[in-house]
Amino acid sequence: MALTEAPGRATRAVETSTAPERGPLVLLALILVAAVAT
Amino acid sequence: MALPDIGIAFDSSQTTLDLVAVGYSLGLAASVLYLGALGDRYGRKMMLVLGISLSIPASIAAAYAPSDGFLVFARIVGGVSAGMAYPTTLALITALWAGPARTKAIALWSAIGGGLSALGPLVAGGLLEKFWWGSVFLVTLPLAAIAVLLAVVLVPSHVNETSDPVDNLGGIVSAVFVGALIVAINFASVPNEGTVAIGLGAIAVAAGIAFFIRQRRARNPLYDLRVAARRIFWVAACAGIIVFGSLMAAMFIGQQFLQNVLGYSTLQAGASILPAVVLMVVVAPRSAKLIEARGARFTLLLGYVFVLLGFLTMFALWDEGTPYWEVGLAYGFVGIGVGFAGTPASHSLTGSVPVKRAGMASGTADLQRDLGGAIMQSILGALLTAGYAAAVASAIAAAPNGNQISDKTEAQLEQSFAGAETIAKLEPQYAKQIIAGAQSSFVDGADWAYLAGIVAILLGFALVYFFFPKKDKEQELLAEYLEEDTASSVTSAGG
Repeated sequence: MALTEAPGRATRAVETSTAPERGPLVLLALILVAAVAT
Repeated sequence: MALPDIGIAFDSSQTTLDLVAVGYSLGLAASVLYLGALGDRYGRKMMLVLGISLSIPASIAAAYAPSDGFLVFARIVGGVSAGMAYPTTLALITALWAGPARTKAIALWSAIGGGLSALGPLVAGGLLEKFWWGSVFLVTLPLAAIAVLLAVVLVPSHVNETSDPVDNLGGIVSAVFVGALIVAINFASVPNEGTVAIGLGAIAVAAGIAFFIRQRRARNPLYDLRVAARRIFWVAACAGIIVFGSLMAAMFIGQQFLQNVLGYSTLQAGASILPAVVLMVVVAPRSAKLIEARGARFTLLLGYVFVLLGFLTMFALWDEGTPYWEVGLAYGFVGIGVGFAGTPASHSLTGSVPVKRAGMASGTADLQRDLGGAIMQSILGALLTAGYAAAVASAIAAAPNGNQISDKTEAQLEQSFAGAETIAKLEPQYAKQIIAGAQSSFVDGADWAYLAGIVAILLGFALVYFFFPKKDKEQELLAEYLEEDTASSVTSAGG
């Protein structure tokens, strides 16, 4: 986790690493959203 | 597919029906660049969840619309909700994965998303046989509910987002530009809508110029023209427009051919697409491997060869006596082609932009489908209509009793296949000959459309062949892009 400064709002935590352990399920969620949206 | 039923339910004008048909892609395409940039800045997960949540009331409102005007509105809102969710999915994939894992993820995203949307006519055909027209808008609701839950629980909140401000003025101009362009293209081939199409085309040109000027001058442009001018980006964008446009045009012309000429029911016509859907999903993981092994150019070209084979099959084999295997063969070729070419078309866009601008790449990936579909359907549809009318006219001129047909009847026969069906009902003693003549003319007209498709595919192939870099050069250019982006982000952070 790294911290980045976003002008005009509070500093927030930003995940910069990939999340391989959540990979397949996250991908499933994204594909499902894409399928519904098309 | 539900349009005839909607027309009867509301006694709608043709213009309103055209707007119902185009409303969803209008809302989606017009909003996608702006919303993609907002997602990059304010949070992609938020945009995703908002979009998919908004799609639920929009679908319900469309299904139970009290008037056709309200239905158009609900479809546009549905399109905007998709504009929030759809580009964000590819942007998140770009932000979460890198290297071969990203290629594989994009391949699955492209194939399963494309495959499921190609199943639309089959599902709609099945529903319309048993339920009212509104049911076609409700079919995605269970999936949307599951998608919201999964997205809330699983998708990380902020990954590689930007802190640069969003060019709001550019976003609004982009919505006017793309929205006017989409409707103008869609209406260009619709009879009696020429004035509307020209007016909207003029608005699109003016807004396009304004957008271009704005993007050159803005400090933080919505659409970074410097990035868009990169060879890997713009060639992939154009190549994708032709590939996805060919898929949609093949479905558009093919569905009419199957129903009008071969006499398939709507359900049978929808089911005939299955080989394309299955092969698209089967081939996509192989396209990811091929990109890693041989590069995007080779994979794109291979995809183009299969799409070309599909259109050649339609052109050479599809006629009044076509057995199903020839239909399945053509759709199978197109499915394999899109399975191969669809992944590099999206992957090269995301690979050639900095990750914080993933929304720009995914917005463009979405426009490939919307613009490609609109352009190819419009051109091929217009050629089908013109080719059909010419074939009917020459058949009447060659008929021994052709001079007995009144000008009014001839005009109606030439207008469309539906027009010929109406005349056949009014003249039952000639019905068989009229329908046979209309079917033969439709095959002639469809050949014009397939030929135009073949020309477009060859142009796309040539574009990729001559302008897209080979694997080694591609790697070199991508490394250069990364270096430029790192240097410019250091400069802007320092400034």
